[in-house]
Amino acid sequence: MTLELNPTPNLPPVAASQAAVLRRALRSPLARNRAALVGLVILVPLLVMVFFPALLAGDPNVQDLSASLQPPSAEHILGTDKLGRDVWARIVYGARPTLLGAFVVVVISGVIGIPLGLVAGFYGGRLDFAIMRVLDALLAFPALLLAILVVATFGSGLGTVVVALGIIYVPAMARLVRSVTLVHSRLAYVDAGRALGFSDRRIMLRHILPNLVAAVVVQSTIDLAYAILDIAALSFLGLGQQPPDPDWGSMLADARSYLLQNPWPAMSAGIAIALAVVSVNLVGDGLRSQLDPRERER
Amino acid sequence: MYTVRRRGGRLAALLATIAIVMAACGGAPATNAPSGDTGNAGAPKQGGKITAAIEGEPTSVDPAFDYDFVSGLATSSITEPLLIFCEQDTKLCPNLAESWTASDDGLTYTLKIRQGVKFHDGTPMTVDDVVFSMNRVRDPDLGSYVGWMLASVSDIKATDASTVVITLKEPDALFEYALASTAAHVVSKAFVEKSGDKYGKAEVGSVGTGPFKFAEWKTGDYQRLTRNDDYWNKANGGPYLDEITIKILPEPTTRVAGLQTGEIDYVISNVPSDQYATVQAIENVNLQFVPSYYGEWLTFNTQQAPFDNVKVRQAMNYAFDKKAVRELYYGKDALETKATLVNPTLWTFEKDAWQKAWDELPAYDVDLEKAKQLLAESGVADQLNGKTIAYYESTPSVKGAAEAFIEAMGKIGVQIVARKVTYQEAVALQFGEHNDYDIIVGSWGSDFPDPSGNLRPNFASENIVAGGANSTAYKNETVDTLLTEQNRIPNDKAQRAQKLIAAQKQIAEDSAVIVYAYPGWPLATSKRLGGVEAASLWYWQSLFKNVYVTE
Amino acid sequence: MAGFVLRRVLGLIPVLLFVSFVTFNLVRLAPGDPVTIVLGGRRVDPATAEALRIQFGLVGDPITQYVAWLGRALVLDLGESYRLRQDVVGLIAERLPITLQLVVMSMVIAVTIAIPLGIAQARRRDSMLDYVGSIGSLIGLSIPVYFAAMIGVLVFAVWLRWLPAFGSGDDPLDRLRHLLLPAGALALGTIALTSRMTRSAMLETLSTDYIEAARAKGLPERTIVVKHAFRNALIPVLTVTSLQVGFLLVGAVLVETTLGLGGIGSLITDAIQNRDYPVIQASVLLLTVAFTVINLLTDILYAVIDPRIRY
Repeated sequence: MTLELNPTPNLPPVAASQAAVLRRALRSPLARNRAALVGLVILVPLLVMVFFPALLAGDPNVQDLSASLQPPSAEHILGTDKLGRDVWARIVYGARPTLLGAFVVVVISGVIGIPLGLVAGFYGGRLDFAIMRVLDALLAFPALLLAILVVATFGSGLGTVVVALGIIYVPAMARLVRSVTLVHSRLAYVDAGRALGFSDRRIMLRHILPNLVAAVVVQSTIDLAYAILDIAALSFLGLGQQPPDPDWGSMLADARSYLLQNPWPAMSAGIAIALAVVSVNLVGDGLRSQLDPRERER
Repeated sequence: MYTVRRRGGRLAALLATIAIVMAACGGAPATNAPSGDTGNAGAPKQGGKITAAIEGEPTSVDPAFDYDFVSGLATSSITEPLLIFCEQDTKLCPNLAESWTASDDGLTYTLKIRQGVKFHDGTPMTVDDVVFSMNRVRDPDLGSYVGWMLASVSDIKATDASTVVITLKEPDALFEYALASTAAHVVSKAFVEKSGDKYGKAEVGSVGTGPFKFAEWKTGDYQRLTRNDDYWNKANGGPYLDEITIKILPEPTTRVAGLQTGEIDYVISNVPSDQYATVQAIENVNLQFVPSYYGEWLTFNTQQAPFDNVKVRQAMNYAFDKKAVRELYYGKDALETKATLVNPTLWTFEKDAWQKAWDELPAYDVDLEKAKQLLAESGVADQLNGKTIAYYESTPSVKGAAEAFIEAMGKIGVQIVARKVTYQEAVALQFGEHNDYDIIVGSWGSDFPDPSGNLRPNFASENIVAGGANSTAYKNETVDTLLTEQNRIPNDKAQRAQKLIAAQKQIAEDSAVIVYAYPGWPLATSKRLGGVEAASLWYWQSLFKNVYVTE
Repeated sequence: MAGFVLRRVLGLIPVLLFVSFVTFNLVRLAPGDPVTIVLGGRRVDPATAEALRIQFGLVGDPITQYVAWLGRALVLDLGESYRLRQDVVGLIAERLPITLQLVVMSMVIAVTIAIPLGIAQARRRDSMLDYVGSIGSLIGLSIPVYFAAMIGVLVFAVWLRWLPAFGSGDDPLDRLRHLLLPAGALALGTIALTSRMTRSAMLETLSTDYIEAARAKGLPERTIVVKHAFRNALIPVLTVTSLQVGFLLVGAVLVETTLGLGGIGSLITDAIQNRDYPVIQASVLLLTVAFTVINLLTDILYAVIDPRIRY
């Protein structure tokens, strides 16, 4: 059963997307979009690093104190760090905490944010007001600062960082879901659903939720890019992963002190972060232009 | 994030080094301070401005609150102590007190106060100011950070216009050194009383008798000092400089970049341990290492299983390649370590006895076979997996040591896990209840030129309490007795040395700590500076008094 | 509209209470007693520790402490920094200008680069310039601000010696020179977002009927772009850009710690490290107010440009 939608072309782009658009988008390959293709080309090796690091490099924790800070060579293609560890291996193994961590941040924000936004937008009134005020309060904290505070309180570590950021990202997701839900819950098909005696739950899950997918996907890619940067920033500040296991932010923090002596480790880590964000942004842009009819026209 | 390191033992403590001079003497203490001789001939001349860099906001220019590595640059140039450390900071010399005597029972100190010394505002310094200054530091309501140094004092009074008599509750071998610390800086009574709450803070600053005057303090940015033209001790050198700017630069790379661009002329202690090569390569900068009373070490919690087992501790000591880590951060010339915190620089009395004891001390040179054997003998090897090594990254070598330690333990089949902590957690661990950690990477340096300043705080069992520094939770009755007894006989140096050496031997055999470096203080100065002098206890005195600009 | 603004401003009060309460308790939950930290762990006699505890207002249960703090905060007495022993309000007043100048300067840099760039890209769509601009803005969006600052120091201060490596300068001109590097690093993300926004807004207006009409009338292209298209594209651009101020404030925390600028950012990270409760409390609150006010202004702006948005 398909209900006829009434697109509202002048609302912010994400709000105009529809399930049908998503389906079309998925059918029409992203490959048509050159930028997104480039994004995917970068993303694939990054994903291999995340899931099958052993295919690309050896043990990132093997030290050789006598081979400290070596420049790139056949043996170490990006050279070695202060403790004589292979920088390439550390970049490869450092992908997982950074990228998977960022992914979990987005998942957490979605798992909490989507239901909250849905309920708030659907029911409106006092419930909406209460939910939104709480979220506003959370939004009032500058994100990175709140994360630093939380991590300082509950101890540093990747887990704390990811959970803290996940919660901090909730308001943005919830607000978006709420605004799309608001639009749809005023549309005729919801009333039609009600008239047919469907439960609120069914209307929300079966009819409104599918319409949120496009907007949520687009928001998630944006959040993912920011989450990568935030995780890297927090571990740069020394609040992330426990050593000796590598992650990009702390590699950069360690390596910056010998930047003038051997720029390879710092550059590798910095560029890895930037490349990951670039690829997510490119893929995100591609998705957005596929999902949003207005963007595609251009 | 970078915080202000605190002195006297904080884990945070130092930024270490190679003590080149000491190494050259085969482990004997240096007899000459690194003079900072830049090879620039010619007599010092008056004038010029320099910029020094520190890594964090100073606490105050009130000496009562100067107990860290960043406040002292300004404070110790503005106000001065009664006595001063001299001869490479191994001895005490007169300063604002012309002379001093201690009674035979070690309970009464009589000081002759120098006459004709003027504060920066032109008023004369009197015995009243001296008594006021020290009583102020002792006043619990002030909450002075150095008040503990005067804890054994029962009374301070002026007996005439030039004599101050200090009476102690009990003999205290370390007391006289306090007279050369910020606890005995003489402040102007009139100025302090006039300034009230604001004294020492950025708005009003401080007035003292020192070679430089407080000019300005822009918090978060810089402090500025100007020359005191009426300095009482000009006969012995400076002050020469017109103006000193002390710039707050928390980011290590930025300080190094500043040296490189010539914007920074002077950095002491705050040169990160993994950037020495970079600094050494800068053409217009001299990097030298000032001998220190410091050690960087790993401390076991000896009260907790399985680290209460001496064989476990010895096994780990043998498995950890201390030399490799030391050379990685402090170079091939770095002083060799043994299982004690008393490094050769700290043999300030009875040198021969200390040297002999040193030769007999175990060094625990790396020996994996022996480590494995000891571990097997301990019978508790299976309890070690998952135990943690806690560290706060005050300087890169601390993190490097933790990571190298984890790797080394892997080689004897033990999985140790890193526990990165924040600065405040680190303080809480080292000075807390001493029951919430397995191993800590830390550092400690005596505030005084006396081995007791390292042994007593760290190994006397009275310090296994909240606020105490015994981070090994080390408890040994014999050691306790020795450490207490030696403190009661300030005048019998030979006896003191014997007791301290006996305690040191026991601690080393128990392998309560793994010492991997005796870093010196890195001192990076622009080649345009002359008269640069610093020794182990540089933070207690003016670094800039004799500095001049050569060009 | 006025009702909406009033509601939102009143709504700020519970938000601030919430934020201050959460911060107040969060910092006190963490391990590490401020008195111990301030003393660097030295064993002091109990009287001294107690004196410091009273000085610091750390007696009584957390709720009592909070109420006491709130009472004083209402008359703008935010206490004294534990570590720096200075009045917190004064401390913030002293540090704030640097951060504000940094943020304003990055904003200026961002707008002066991004808007002309976006317009040019829109006018020469799919040209080399458009391509390079898009790639540049993508990189600007993706590079961590502290990494950019590090590279900036390396290139412009250490290698080329054009700009000072750190610090904030004395006189206004010197200040400008000193802030150029950090503000530039901080501006990258905003340049990227603003130029993208300008480009797409311009594309949209350039393809509207009235522009076509103007073209048909034979108006010079320059007039069309500047007088007609840009004016209409400006509002959404400014809205998005204003929202960036919040991000810049947070980015400033990272840039200030990386480049040693004594602003609010370095004050706050230092304070968190040192458990300096009054400073954490006050500066978090300050940033929260700034953040909320910016959000509020943006919402109002949105409402102004698009009356269909309901509140």
